[in-house]
This record gives sequence, structure tokens and C-alpha cells, in this order.
Amino acid sequence: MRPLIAIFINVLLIGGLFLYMGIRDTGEETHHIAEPEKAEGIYTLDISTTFKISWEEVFLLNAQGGENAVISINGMRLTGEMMKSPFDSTFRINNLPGIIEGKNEVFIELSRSSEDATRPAAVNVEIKKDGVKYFSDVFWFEPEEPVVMTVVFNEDKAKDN
Amino acid sequence: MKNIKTSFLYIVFILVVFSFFLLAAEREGKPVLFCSTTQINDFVKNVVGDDCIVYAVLPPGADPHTYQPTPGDAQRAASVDLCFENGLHLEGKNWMATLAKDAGKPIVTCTDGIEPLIIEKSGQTVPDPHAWFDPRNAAVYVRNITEAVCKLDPINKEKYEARARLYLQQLRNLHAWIKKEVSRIPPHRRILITSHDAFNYFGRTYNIDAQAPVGWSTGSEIGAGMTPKRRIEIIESTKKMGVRAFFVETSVNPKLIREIARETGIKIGGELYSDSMGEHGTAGDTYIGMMRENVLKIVKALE
Repeated sequence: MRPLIAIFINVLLIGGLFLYMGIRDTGEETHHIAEPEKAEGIYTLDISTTFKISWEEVFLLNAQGGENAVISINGMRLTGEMMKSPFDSTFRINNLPGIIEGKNEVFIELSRSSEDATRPAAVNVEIKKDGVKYFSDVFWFEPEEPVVMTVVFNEDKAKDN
Repeated sequence: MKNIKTSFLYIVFILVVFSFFLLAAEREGKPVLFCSTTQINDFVKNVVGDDCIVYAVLPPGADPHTYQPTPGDAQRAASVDLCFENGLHLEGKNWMATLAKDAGKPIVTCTDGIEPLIIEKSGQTVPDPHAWFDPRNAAVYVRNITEAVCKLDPINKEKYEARARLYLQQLRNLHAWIKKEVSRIPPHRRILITSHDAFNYFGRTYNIDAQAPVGWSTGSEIGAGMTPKRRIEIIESTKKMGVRAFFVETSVNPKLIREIARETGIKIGGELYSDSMGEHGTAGDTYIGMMRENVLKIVKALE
């Protein structure tokens, strides 16, 4: 009887140990990341291109959900509703959401027609805060190069004062 | 007895002649290239296609920092036309340059022309050798390789250049795709902790804070470079930084990073390809596949 009890206790202990190790290996982190504060002010994004932003099928096949422009702010994808400005060679997004205090990142991907893609292209990205130019940069693209860019800027309280 | 001896010698002679013809048939007059790492092997194959015979020193999963060349490697080096290395001391104690030098073969350093990231370790500044983690640097590797093979085999120059153009376009698309995927992670969550400092170029290019508990070389990965004080510092700082996940690497012993993950209660986000690509048939058996796999795992764990 005793050996059986000993085996049972051993199995219980080893099983418990492995269970505990498994939980610790796969467990979610126990501490939380402090979410950054939302920055004050109204931000506007203007994008001007040297090409007409394309609706061609070949690009729609590649883009997720048939989008011809993808814009994300700090990891948040803007929805089509927000981007309902007339798409041509320039468009604006009013009241840009998700700008935080600290490091901000705006990701932009645009499609161009197969004809436009054979030529070099430029994209001007401008961000205004309360109607005043806050950030501006021009991005250049070679023929056939995907029109993808990332704008990084810091927004800190000192700038508001 | 004499007849048996003569027959034996005759068979040996026939075998030697046969193997010589087999070797010659395999080569078909094609240039033979010898690459140090799996990544360089992949770049070279994309440029030369079937017009050259390509061998790699390192098998998938092997660590270039600690690799010790074998007599077989020296034998192979003696039979090739051109060698390729990463450079920037990725190949520990410059083993690839030594193999090529001893065999009297020319060698191309694929990182030539890349401005290396300078990292500081133990008060010393060293160039970071993991340059391929920026696809724009990978394009420099491909250009250096193309230039070298065009010089070696000018008859096939047009084919090499055409393949290189196609591959460079794929690298551009890869770069754009990575930017798009990484954009899904909020900037304040972009902290990438891996076993060794291989991801600095990747971090710089895609705005990710890449850190490693040990250092840029894997030589000390099992604890030699890790003091108890440093270990406590790492555990405290990762908790404060709000790290969401740790990552282990396919070519580095995961013991240390797993221990730190357990002690901090932070999950392991997955196994990343770093100094070596994956086995044949896995998603990471090409450079582009390896980068895609890494990015998918990083985004899933951090977004």
C-alpha cells in the first residue's frame, strides 16, 4: 500500500510542478502598461501627391478590404468614413484622432495607377495643429516603389505652452 | 595473387576516373560559390539562379558567432571560385576570411558600403554585424553580390542583373509590407527584447526599441556575460518599461531569456529567426520568408 501512496504523491507533485511551469510560460504579463495621455488640440492631416490616387483593380486586389489608401495613427487604422474626402491628388482628414502626448506615428500607404507607377513620385504630408502648420515633409518614390511612408513626431506639453 | 592486386588497382583507377567525370558533370563548367551564412546563401541563389553552384558553410540554425570551421569546409573552400562573407565580425574570429585566405580564394564582404550601426558594449564601441535586418541593407548585399558574380562570369552578366533587379523589387515590397504591419503596433508598445542584440537595424528602421539582456554576440548567451546584479537590473527595468513580450531566437540558446521571462511574469512572444534562417521547407527558409515570419510574430505579440 505504501509504495502506491508514494507513487501517487510523486505523480501529484511532478504533475503540479509541470502544470505550474506551463501556466507561467504561457501566461499573460502581470503588470500593465500605462496608456499615454491624449494630446489637446485639433489636428489636420493634408496629403498631396504628384499622381492621381488610383482605383485600379490590380491595386484593389493587393489592398486589404479594397482600400486605395491606408492611414494608421499610433496603431489605429482610420476607417473609410474618416477618409471620405475626394480622392484625387490631394486629400485632407480633419480632426485627426489618436494623437497622444509623446511619440506619435502616422503611417500612410497610397496606390498609384500602373501608368503613374512607371514614373518617380512625391508625396507631401502636412500636419496642422489648430490651423497652424505643425509638421511637413516630402517623400520621394522611385518608379515601381511602393508608396509607403511613416511620419514620426513628438508631441509634448511644452509645445502647448 | 598478382592478378588480384592488378584487378584491385584497375578498379580503383576506374573509380577515380569515374568520380572525376561525375564532379565535372555536376559543375558543367559553372562557377562554384561558397557563402558563410544562410542569408547570404539565399541572396546569392536569387542572383545566380542555376548558372552557378552555390554552397553554404553554415547549416540552418547554426550560430555564425561561435562556429568552428571543419576540415570539410577547408576542403570545399579549396575547390570553389569565389567566397562570400557577411563581415563586420559576424563570423567569429573571421573564420570565413581565414578559410578563403588559406585556400587562396577571393572573398567578397557583403556589408561593404553599409554604414554600420555602432553599439557600445562593456565600454567598447563595435560595429553591429546584423545589417541584413534592414531590407535596404539587404539590397546592398545583393548589389555587392551581383557586381562580384558579373565580374567572375561576364558571359551571364545580363541574367544576373535581371535576377537582381527582380529581387530588389521584392525587397522593396518587403520593406513596405513590414512598415505597414509594424504600424499596427502603438509606438509606446514597441519594445522588442530578444536573446542577443541582433535586432538593432530592424528597430532603427521600423521605430522599435530593440534590446537584449546579454549583448551583440551569442558567445556569452548561456550566462558568462550575465552577473546576478545585471540580471536584477534587467528584471526591474523590463517591468518598468512595460514590456509586453520576450522573444527567443532560433540560433541562440533560449535558457536565459526563458528564465527572465518566468521571473518577470512576461510571456514569450515566439521564436524569431536571427543569425540563421530556417530549415528547408519551413516558412523561414528564405530571407523574405524569415523576415515575414518574424514580423508576424512580433506584431501579434506586441499589438
